[in-house]
Parts: sequence; structure tokens; C-alpha cells
Amino acid sequence: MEEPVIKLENVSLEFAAERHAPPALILSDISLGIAPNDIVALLGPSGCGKSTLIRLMAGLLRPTRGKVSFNGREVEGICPGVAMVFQNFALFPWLTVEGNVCAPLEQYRLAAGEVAGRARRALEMVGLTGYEKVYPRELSGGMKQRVGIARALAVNPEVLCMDEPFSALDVLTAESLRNELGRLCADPANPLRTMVSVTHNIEEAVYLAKRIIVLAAHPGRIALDIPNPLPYPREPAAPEFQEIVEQIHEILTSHELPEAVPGGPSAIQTIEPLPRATIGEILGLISICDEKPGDLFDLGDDMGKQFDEMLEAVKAAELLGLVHTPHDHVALTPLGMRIQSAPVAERKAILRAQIDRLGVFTKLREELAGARTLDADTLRDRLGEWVPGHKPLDTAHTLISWGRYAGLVEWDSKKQILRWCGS
Amino acid sequence: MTTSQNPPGPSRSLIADALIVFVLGALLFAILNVAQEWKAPFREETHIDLALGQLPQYTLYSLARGCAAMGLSLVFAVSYATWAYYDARARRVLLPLLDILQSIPVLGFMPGLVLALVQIFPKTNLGLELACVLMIFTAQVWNMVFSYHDSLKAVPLEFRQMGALCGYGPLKTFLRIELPFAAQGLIYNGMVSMAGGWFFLTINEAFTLGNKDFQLPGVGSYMSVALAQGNVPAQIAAVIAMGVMIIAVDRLVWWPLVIWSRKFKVEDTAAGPRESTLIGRMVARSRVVDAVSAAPGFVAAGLRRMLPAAPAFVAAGPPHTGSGKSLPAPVYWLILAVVFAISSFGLFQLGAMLAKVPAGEWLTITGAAGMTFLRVISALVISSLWTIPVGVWIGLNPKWARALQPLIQFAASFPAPMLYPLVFGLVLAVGGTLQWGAIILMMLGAQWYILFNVAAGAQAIPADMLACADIFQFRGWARWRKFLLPAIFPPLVTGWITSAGGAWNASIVSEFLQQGDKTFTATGLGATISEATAAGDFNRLAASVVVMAVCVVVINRTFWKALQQKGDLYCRFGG
Repeated sequence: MEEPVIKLENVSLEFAAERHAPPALILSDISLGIAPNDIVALLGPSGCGKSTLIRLMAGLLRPTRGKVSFNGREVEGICPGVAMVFQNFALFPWLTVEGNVCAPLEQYRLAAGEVAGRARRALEMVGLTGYEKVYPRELSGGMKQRVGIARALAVNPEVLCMDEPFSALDVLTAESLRNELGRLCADPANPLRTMVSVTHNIEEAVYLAKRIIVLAAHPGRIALDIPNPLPYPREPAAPEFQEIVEQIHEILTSHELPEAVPGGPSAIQTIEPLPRATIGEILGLISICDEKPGDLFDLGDDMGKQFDEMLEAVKAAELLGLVHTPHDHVALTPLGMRIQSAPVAERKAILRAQIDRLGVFTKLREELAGARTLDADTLRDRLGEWVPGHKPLDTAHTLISWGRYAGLVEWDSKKQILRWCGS
Repeated sequence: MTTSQNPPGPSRSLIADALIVFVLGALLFAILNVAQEWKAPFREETHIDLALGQLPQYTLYSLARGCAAMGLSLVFAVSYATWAYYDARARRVLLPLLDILQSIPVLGFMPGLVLALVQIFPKTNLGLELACVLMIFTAQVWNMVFSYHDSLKAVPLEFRQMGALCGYGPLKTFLRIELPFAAQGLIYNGMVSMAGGWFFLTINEAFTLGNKDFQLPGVGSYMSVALAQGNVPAQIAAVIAMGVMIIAVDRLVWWPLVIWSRKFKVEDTAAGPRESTLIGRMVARSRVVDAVSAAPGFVAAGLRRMLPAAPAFVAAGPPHTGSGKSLPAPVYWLILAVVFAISSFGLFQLGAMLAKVPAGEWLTITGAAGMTFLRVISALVISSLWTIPVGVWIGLNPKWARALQPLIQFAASFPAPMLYPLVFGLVLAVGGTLQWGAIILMMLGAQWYILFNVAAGAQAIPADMLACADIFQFRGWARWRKFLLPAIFPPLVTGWITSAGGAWNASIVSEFLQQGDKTFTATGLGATISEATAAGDFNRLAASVVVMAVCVVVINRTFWKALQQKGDLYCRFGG
């Protein structure tokens, strides 16, 4: 293997969300090399630190432990060989398209003609010739992101980092821009050969990348690193393409939803983390599964949700004993079927009983046996202890929304305290 | 003008050039003229000439003071807010301090400032001029600091990261990201501040401290003298001059700035700025402006040669620590020690002054505070009675809003104390006294804030909510109680807070009126402050200023804050 351009050695990153809060581990012990001409997709559920990872590569963040190096030299400060494309474009509204593209060039000793020439070539590459003097607010989202890409290309970077470049765009625009980027990757005239792109869209990763790195969350770590040998240009409808997509789906699922020990929630003794899903989303999932049980990944399409959001709903339903997930299929349990056909009051009663049995609520009942109320800070501390590795605020969010539905807790948003109202 | 294709550059016009050269020349003349006045030897007694021919020059002097104060406010706001933003330790002191500073009545700063500065510059008018500028400054600056600090907090993280990728250090981050991002808020608040700064102009330019009369030539002092002499034509002339100045500054400075600043708007929705102003078009057509604005480009090109060579693919660059840069510890503690020493000295002095105030005096002052409190409340209630319905009506009728906006803005910018004699004359004519009349005088300045905020709030009610209220037939009182009042509640509270602050401040001039050789007073804290100033009784002045500041802070922190929280919790749309 060639000497990597970017090399991460045992990189960990800790971050304290607030002053005095104990730092949370965002990335844990990541070692990774990006070789020249690699086109890498970083894929993973939300909160796995994939955006953080490319910011480390660009030198926008420093690792707490470990080493990031670029062409063999440790990165200190901004890494000049890396350019970045941001999710929300990050175009300065007070500069024209040309001004935005030229902004990163102005830190170097370049002749004025050279700056203009580079900007022109970059804009030409993304098809924005003629828009030099236009302000970003006059452009559509897709055109804005083209400017973002042109700005990155204009610095002649060795590595292009992209942070979910298409996720702020509508489906059609994202599709067409993705195609163009695919063409750009395959274009021999384009000197840029190395790219790292963050995405949560599996098809996007398979379409663009030669190498797909799957991250797992809590804390963020590399779960899988697989090559994608399909030749360019790639055809999403082709069976080989779909096969790789399926394969990654399966791996993601088995990683996120390990085959459960049968027995349902009553068997749960340890405290399970609460997935970030609302009761409404869980009931929606049950109803879709009832109509057409099946593949996890068709489900996402049916629910109009991103894959990772849908996974949270599936995990939640499984935690409540409403579905089980043999391989990558989602099927209703008998309880799930009952809930689907039950009238509203009974449905609520079943869910209430299931929620009541969860480990977190058992703990909470013990904690509140004396006091009956808990202020926000204490609640956050407790949840941090009970469910380590998860953001206490996320857990609290689900806890309150489920507990409120089940009539177990009440949240007083004025006084910021949690009240126990179950038995 | 802006299209999706390359717009052709504006045609160059000789007339535009000539006009711009003319305006620049006039400005230069004005600056020299004002400078001469500032350098003039110190006069024990300035003679204000009531001849009409003098008025333009006097108005120019006042304008220069307002502009100098505005420049100072800008520099202060940017520095203070930047410090508070980047230094987490200092922030915990700086932000609460700001809250207290803005509650101190403007005139409370006056005697100390004047005496100190006159002492520092005994030979020229500079001390007195500086004092006057600083007094205007204290009425302008606070909301600008808040606005800039809010903008700094709102700069998206991705912008800062992009800046880091562009190699921006602290200075360039300030010039290329923070300042453009904050421009709109800063300009809008500058416009409001400029209006607020004129409020006490009549007093800032002419006042009595103990046995000494201080006067500076200006439209404010012209008015004061005209009042003292009972010269009605001169009073009217001063009001007109003031009005012309406000309109001119608004149209020639603020309006073009507001239009121009739209290019810094961050929301990516609307199309480009369509409105253009005469000034904007003229600037676009002038070669003079081209030449001047090209100069920084040459300088930049020179500087660029000192930059690192282009694609330097090495891992080197300025260390980036993200936000939260703090000063190195020794420097930090040194600054802190100096600030602490100065403020403890000041507090000690203040304590000594307060200790000399006898207990009975404190009782009188507290009673007076109670009276002023009642007046402030009455002024708010009476103002609300008309501003809420009118504000809602304006807000829901955009056509009227556009037509009335310049008028209301003018009314709000005009320094109300200049109209006091006229209004109080009417109060006297119907047999009223200043005890009650002061409420009306306070309202004159304070009511506009409620009107503005209510109109803006009503304008922001989502169309769906309006349709909903119509469909379910909310009518009459129910429509107000169940729908309109809650819908405008958060901005209404903001309006009340600003109005109350204004009314407390205005009590100083509205509870104590001098007309000709007659003096009218109403029992109240404002009158106490004015009398103490006039008598040169600094202990009593300090006591009453402290009482007023405490009143405002305590009411803000308890009553208004509770209302604000309630409003934020229950009355925000889309929450």
C-alpha cells in the first residue's frame, strides 16, 4: 500500500458540552490511513462522530489523544492540503460567488491573475461560469453547494473533505449533484484524486466511494472498512450495485441491532439505552410493518425517514417488545399485532405497561421513592450514570416523552423539574 | 439591477462626480469649523445668539457631537462585546455590569464627567465638549453592545471554520466575518441609538451645576436659552432645525446604510436588494468613489507579496484553538487588578458620599421614588391604551404600516423635552399641574417603543393563526384576550421594558421644568435629581441616582423578567 496522505494514529477526542460537565468521549482510538487516490465514504448513524473525524483531518479540531499527520508530518493548526465542503454551504452572504471562491486563496502569495484564473477554472468545473458576480442569496441550494465545491477545488487541495454535502438539498438536486461529482471523480482532467466524504446515505456511499468506512456510535469508532471495487461510472440499478448496498445494510443492522435473546422486555435486567424515537414514530412503524412486513430498508423509504432515524424507531419498538428483527427483517411480535388492532385506550395501556418495565424507569422509581421530584441537573447526572456512553440530554428527552405518554412522569418546564406520578 | 447574468456596471456620470466632490468638500468644511470651536479658549459664559442666522451653525455643532458620540459608541460596543465573547471568565462580570450600567439614568453621569473633564482641559472648550459627547454616548451605547454581542453569538460555527480554512487570524475574522455578520443589527441599533442620544440634548448643552452655568453652542442650548427668555419664535425655529436635522440624517445617512447593509443578510430566502437609494446610485456612478475604493486594493496587492507561497502542502499554519481564546494569565490578572482597583476606589468614594446623606433625606428620596414609580406605571398604562390597538392595526395592515412608518419614526426620534414647554402650556391651560402633567410629558418619549414593538409583533403573527382566529370566530373582547394579546405578548413586554426605562430617565426632565423665570416641580425622584444637580448637592444627587438605578434594576430583574419568561414559554409561535 502506498504511503497514506492522511494518517490517524490512535486518535481519541473528548469534548465537554458545558463548563464543568464531565467530558464525553466522541471518538475512541481511531487508526486510519487515507491513501492517495482513495475515495472514501464515512458512513454511520447520527452521533458517531463522522463529521468530527473529517474536521480532525482538516485541522479544525485537535485530537485529545493520538496523532493526525499529513504526508508524514503531524498536523498542527489548519492543514493546508485539505479543502472542505460544508453541509450548509458556509458561503459568506456578503461576498459574490467569485469572492467566496477566492477567499481561501487570498492567504497565499498568488498573482492577481492566478487567483482569478483558478476561480474561473473551478467555477467552470462545476458549471457556474457566468455567475461570478452573483450573490449567494440569488442562487438555489444546489447552485450554492456547487460554489462550495468550486471554492474547495480552487485551492488545488490534495484531499477534498465533504461533510454531508448533499443532505441540505432536496432529493432531485442531491441526485443530480451526486451524479456530477461521480463524473468529476472519473474525469482524468481533474487533478484531484483523493476524497473523504461523510454521509448517512448508503446508496450515496456506494455510488461515489472506492472504500467505505462504517463507524459505530457511543463512542465513535471504526466498525468496518470495506473496499468497493465497482468500476465507474456506476449504475445504481445494476444488481452488483444493489448487492453491495444490501451487504452494507446487513452489516449496519447486525451491528446496530444484534440478534436479541428471545424473551422480550420482561427479561431485561440491565439498563437499556433509550433510542431517540417518539411514541408516534413507534406506532407508525408498527402500522407499516403490519401492512407489509419485510425488509428494514424498504421501511425507511415507506416511512420517509433517513436510515439512521428509522433504525432508532426499530430499536425502540424492539425494546418495547413490539417487533423482533431476525436478520434484517422487521416482524411484529404477538404483542405488536395486538397493539395494532387494539382500540386507543387498550393500546395506551399496553404501551404503558411495557414502558413501566424498562430498566431506566425502574431506576427512576427507586430514585424518586423518597423525593418524588428531581431537578434537571440531577436528572442529567443520574442518566449519565445509568446509561453511560449516551448523551444524557438525548436519554432525558426520550425518557420524558415516553414517561409522559405512559403517565409515569410529569415534566414541569417552568421549574425544570421531573415529577413522578406513577405508582 | 441584479440579474442572474453579469450585470453591466453602472454608467459613470460627471454630475455624480461633481456632487460627491461637493459633499466631501462641505463635510471637510464642517469638520474644520467644528474643530475650531472645540479648540476655542475656554469661556466661562458662552453667549448663545438667538438670531436665526446662527441656527444652522449651532445645529451643525450639535450634529457633530452626536456623530462623535456615535463613533465612540461603535468602537466601545465592538470592543466590549468582543472581549465578553472571547473571554469566558470576563464575560461573567461584563454582562451583568452592562445591565447595571444601562440602568443608571444618563444624567447621573453628568456632574462627575463635566467637573473631571473641565479640570483636565482647563484651557480649551475640549473638556466641556468631551463631557457633552460622553453624555450623548451614554444614551447611545448600551443597546449597540447587546446587539453586537448577540451577533457574535449567532455567527454560525461553519463560518468560523471556513474562516480558519481561509487562514484568517483574529483581525481578519473580525473584519471579514464578525463585522459583516453583525452589520445589519449594528446599523439598525445605531439608528435607534442616534435618536435616543438626542433626548437630553437641551440639558447636555446647557446646564447649571451649583453656582456655575455651563453652555456650549448648539441647537439644544439655543432651545434652552429661548425657553429661558420666553422667546417663542426662537423656540419654534429650534424645533424646526432639530426636525430638519433628524430627517436629513435619517435620509442621507441611515436609510442608505440600511439598504446597503441588506447585502449582509444571512437568511438565504429573498432575492437581492431591489430598492436603491439616491445616495447608493450616486456612489455607484462616481469615478471618485472608484478611485478611492481601489486604493486598499493596491495596498493589499503589496501585502500579498509577503504571504507564504501558494500550494504549500505542508502541515503548518497558525495554531487554531477555536472560540474561547483568553488572554495570557499574567496580562489577564493585571488588567483585572487595575479594573478592580479603579472600581473599588469609585465605590469607596460613592460610599463616602452616600454616608453623608442623613436618614431623613433617604426617607424623602424613597418617597419621591414611590411617586415617580406611580407616574411611570401610569404613563405605561395610558400609553398602552392607545398604542396596543393602533400598533396591532398597523401591524395587520402592511399598507398603512409602510405609509406611517417614517412618520412614527420621526416622532420617536424627536427629542421630546423640546416639546415639553408646548405640551405643558396645554396642561396649564386646562387647569392641570405638573404633578399630573409629568405623566403626559413622560409618555411623550416613552410611548413609541410600545407602538413599535406591538406593530412588529402583530406583523409577525403567522397568517394561519389569523385565519384560525377568523374561522373560529374570535370576536370583540375574546379576540383580544384569547388571541391578539397573547400573540403580541413577548414583543409587548420588550416594549414595556424599554418604555419604562425611558420613562424613568425622562422623569429627570419632566418633573422639573424651568420656563422663563418660573420653575415648576412635581414630587418625585426625577425632580430630586434635577434639584440636587442645580444646587450642586452631590451627596443628595448620588443618593437619588443610586436609588433610581436600583429601582430600575430590581424591577427589571423581578417583574419584567418574570413576564418575559412567561411570554417566551407560552406565547412564542413555532416553538
